[in-house]
Amino acid sequence: MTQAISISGVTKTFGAKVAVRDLDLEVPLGRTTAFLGPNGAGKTTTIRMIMSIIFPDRGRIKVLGRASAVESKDRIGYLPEERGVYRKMRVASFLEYMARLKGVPRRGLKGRVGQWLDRVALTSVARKKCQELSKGMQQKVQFVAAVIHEPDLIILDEPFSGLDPVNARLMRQLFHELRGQGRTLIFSTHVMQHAEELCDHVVMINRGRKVLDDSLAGIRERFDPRALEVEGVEGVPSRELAERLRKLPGVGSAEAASGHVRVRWSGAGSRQVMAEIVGAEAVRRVEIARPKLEDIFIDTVIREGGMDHDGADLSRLRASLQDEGGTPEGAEAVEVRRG
Amino acid sequence: MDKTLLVAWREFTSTVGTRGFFIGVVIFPLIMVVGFALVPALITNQPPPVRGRVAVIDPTGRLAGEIERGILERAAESGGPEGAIARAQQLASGVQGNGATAGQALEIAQGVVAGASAPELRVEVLPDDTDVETVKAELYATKADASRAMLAVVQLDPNALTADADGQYGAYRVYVRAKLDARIDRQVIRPAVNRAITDARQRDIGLDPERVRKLTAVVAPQAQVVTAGGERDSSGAAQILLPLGMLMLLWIASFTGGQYLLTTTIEEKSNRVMEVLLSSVSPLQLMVGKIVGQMGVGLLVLTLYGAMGVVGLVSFSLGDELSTSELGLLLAYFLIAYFLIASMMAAVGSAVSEVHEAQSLIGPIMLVVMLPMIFSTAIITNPNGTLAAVASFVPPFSPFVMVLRVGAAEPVPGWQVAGSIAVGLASVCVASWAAAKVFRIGVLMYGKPPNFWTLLRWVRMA
Repeated sequence: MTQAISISGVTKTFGAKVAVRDLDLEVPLGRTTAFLGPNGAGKTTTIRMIMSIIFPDRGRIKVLGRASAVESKDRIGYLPEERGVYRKMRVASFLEYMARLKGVPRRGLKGRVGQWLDRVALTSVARKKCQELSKGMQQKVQFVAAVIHEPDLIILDEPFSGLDPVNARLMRQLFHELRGQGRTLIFSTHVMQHAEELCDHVVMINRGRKVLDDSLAGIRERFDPRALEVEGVEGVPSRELAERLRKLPGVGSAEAASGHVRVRWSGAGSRQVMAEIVGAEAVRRVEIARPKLEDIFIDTVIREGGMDHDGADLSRLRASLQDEGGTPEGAEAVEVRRG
Repeated sequence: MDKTLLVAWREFTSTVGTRGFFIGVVIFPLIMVVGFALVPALITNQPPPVRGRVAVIDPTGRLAGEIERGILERAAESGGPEGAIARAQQLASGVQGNGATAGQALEIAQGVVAGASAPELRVEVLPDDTDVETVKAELYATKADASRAMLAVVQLDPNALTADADGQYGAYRVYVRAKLDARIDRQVIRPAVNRAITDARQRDIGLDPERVRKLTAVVAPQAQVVTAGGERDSSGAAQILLPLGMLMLLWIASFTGGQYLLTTTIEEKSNRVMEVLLSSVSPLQLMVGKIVGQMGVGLLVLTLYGAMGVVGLVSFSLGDELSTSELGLLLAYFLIAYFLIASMMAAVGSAVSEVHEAQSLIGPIMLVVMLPMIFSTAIITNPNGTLAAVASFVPPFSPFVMVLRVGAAEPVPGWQVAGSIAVGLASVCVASWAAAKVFRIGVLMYGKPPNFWTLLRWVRMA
């Protein structure tokens, strides 16, 4: 058995709405996969089907080699997006209960709970009732509940939402640890930095369809913008800089973006163009532009959306994001805006 | 199975371990004891103190004095200031012999008691030719002074003391003001008038009313129940209270568990702990575990209160009113009633997101299950009647009706007991099957609370 999850031809509809359409997905053991997609894309539905909480209308799902997660529930750790705790239960009792439900033997359980609480810096609240905890603390408790039985497969729906930077870092550390132990991790997120930092593989779905399923390296290769980012020194407007850069040999196009100029080369290689730029202009930074998952994400959503009726809305969204200057730009997105 | 028991154990301990449960379990019997012991003492059957006037029109001309005395005597028993006045009047008739007028004596006596405003009841004897309609009009006239208000008008028939050719005597009519306490009419005025009439009739044919009363009175004996354990007074009350007590017990036990099941299910949903649970256990395991856990809670309540009831019966040496087989049947019907209610509660609890949303779905269920309570008197007095027999086989009523019948004095035919249990088991199977279907879909549904038809649709869905 090399596949942790194997999904083929899965479709799930709720009334008239198709939540997941003809989804095929293979997740090998030991891989860390980021599961991306806009709100309502079908991520949670897919995860719930993997967990056998709901069942597909069509198609087949195998989890850890078994016909369904029902048979391997004890080997799966799950942190749902809609997560909660028993408010009146004490933290340690809650974790013991969750662990016992996952088949962890009673012997040594208290010690294990203690270790985990120590690991997430919650030892002091072990005897407190869950309702007395802050939201971030509760989330750490929920995370412990998802991994306390040392599962082979861990599925985390939005594990970072609602965490402050300190706890988010702790969570990333725990993530790296679990990865290092060779466990299979799947997590959904809207924070692209987390995906870029933590995963080997990216699966993106939109409108119930898989639109991307590739390793991080493969994606960087595939979506290489083949452009340079040039940041001028203080006091030189990007517009002016772009004007001047355009005249340099080997430069195909140069466009001002927020805070930098995006340069595409023609004919000659990137190294030569970089040398030309550094020779001609005083610049703070010249680098080969990297594809950002965020750009890929938004571009994909817009492209997909463009085929449907509400694509225009997404374009507008994209445009408004650019106006705010809060999002890095992608060449393709600019083209979409022009179109 | 293991996980189901884990769920059940948590459900039981987390319910029983709460302060609310402890208080509820202890407080409730206290309220019952206080209710049984104190309330009868507080409720008196005595007519309230009376203020106002009663008019008597007496064409026979012989009864007015007797009626007046009778009314005032009886009013005196109700203990108000007018009681004192009545006593003063008795005193007045006593002193008559000593030469003083009754009126003078009355004035003296009234002076004795008239500390404050001294509300009073006065009986006015009106002449024969009084226009009844005018007097009656006073019954609805408003008076600023309450003690001047006309309360009742007694009009005697002219032939009240003389039989006609067929041996029939005349009678009298009573007209009363609206909202007059019925006890004043029934326990003060009418007995006084009746006594005056019958006494006069007896005297007319040469009988001594006092002797007639003694001759016709027989002190009723108390029946003795003879059992192997000895003899004791029979208690008709026990025969009514026992089935009612068993019904109450069944009710409280099954609804305590059911109510907790509803709230914990809704809580798990609104806390969003549901999905975490469902990643460890199947919806069926969860539902069965919760139902079993709350069954433990119901059983605990049943045992606690049942034991208290048995101790109570034994301490009144009425232990023989209850047999082991009745207790066994009570347990059996508890299980049937509980599983029926629990199935409905689990289904409703899983389908809604907030407690208040459950009310509209639970309301009809409660109404249906309340019906046996409403018909309990009819069933106890006629435990093998058609109503009782038929209701014993109608699922939601069956356990409640059967408990009443089993507790009642008349034995229930064995086939009906067996039949009702069979119907009960079958209905439990259907209800829990339907509940499991609703539960599976409901637990992850949020948003608009479903109505009854939506639930039915979920049951029909695969």
